[in-house]
Amino acid sequence: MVNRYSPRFSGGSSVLAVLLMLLLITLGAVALVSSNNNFKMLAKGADWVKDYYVLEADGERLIQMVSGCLQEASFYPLTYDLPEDIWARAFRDSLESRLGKYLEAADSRTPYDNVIDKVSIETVDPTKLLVTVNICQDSGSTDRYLLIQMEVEGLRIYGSNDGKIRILKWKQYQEPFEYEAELDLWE
Amino acid sequence: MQIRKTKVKRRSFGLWEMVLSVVVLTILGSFTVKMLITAKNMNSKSYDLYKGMSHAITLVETIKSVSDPLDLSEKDLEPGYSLQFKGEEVQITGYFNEDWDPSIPTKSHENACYWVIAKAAPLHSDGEDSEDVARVYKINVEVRRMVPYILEKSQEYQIFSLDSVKCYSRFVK
Repeated sequence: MVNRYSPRFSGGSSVLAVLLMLLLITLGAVALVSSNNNFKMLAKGADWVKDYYVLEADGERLIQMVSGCLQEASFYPLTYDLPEDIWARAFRDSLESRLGKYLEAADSRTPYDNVIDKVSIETVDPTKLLVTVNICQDSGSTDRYLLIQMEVEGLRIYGSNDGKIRILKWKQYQEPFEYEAELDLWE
Repeated sequence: MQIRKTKVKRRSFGLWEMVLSVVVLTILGSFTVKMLITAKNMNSKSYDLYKGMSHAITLVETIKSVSDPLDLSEKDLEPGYSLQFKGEEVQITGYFNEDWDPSIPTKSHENACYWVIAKAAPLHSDGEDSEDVARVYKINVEVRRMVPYILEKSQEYQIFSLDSVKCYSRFVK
């Protein structure tokens, strides 16, 4: 007959308790790692949102610049007597010089630490200009861009503030993501 | 007949072994509890960050959507927010309870757990002569938790903050 109280059979409950404890520790560690990763992912998303608004700030600055040019253009005395395309040319020169000064002063870096990648001003018709600006933000692995396209309509009446800026594109995009050759799992 | 009595020494768990195992289990248990609480706090922080981010983005986009920040009214805002004008500066404040529901404002805001504040103030840029036609506003939103997380000491915790810029130009149609 087996003796239940023999030393060979004692300590069974302790073994169970230790196993239970090990299980709890494992589950706790898994929960901790999972929640930590979840938080890290959300923090990355939060950084992305912050960076987006920094990129957008330069777009708003561009609107301010174009508005300033339009206001200046409203006092060009030539809109009355001369053909309208002269207005477009004068406005274009004014905008280009302003943008040029802005880029030179900032060493092509904007106050928000972005880079003006491309600026183009096209004449659509004698009173309309198409301004396209691409702003680039260096964000670690890939660059992020904000493409702004606006149609700037000029004035017909001297001294009035009847200019118009119509935003055609306000598009944020990224270069295609490239996978790194070596993946550090513990990072 | 003579019966010989022999003393059988039975080995079992001694008191000290018992005490030792209880101590070890308590230490391990406290570690486990600490780990689970940290995991719970992390989950709460993640959720708060998500909610804080949504509130901040909504507020920034609301302020940006109007043609002039001084035209903002409480109708434009979600429930729980109040609006104040200080000269040219606009301030939006919101208090929320632990479930992120708008908390009923009391004087000391004791029932509030989260505090959201958005400020929009004119940014006076140097050398720009277009301020009368295009005013640039700096928008800042801050989301804070006023109640500490479980077993954490710090009273206030900044969940999220967001900075943005908006140019209100009369030419933009």
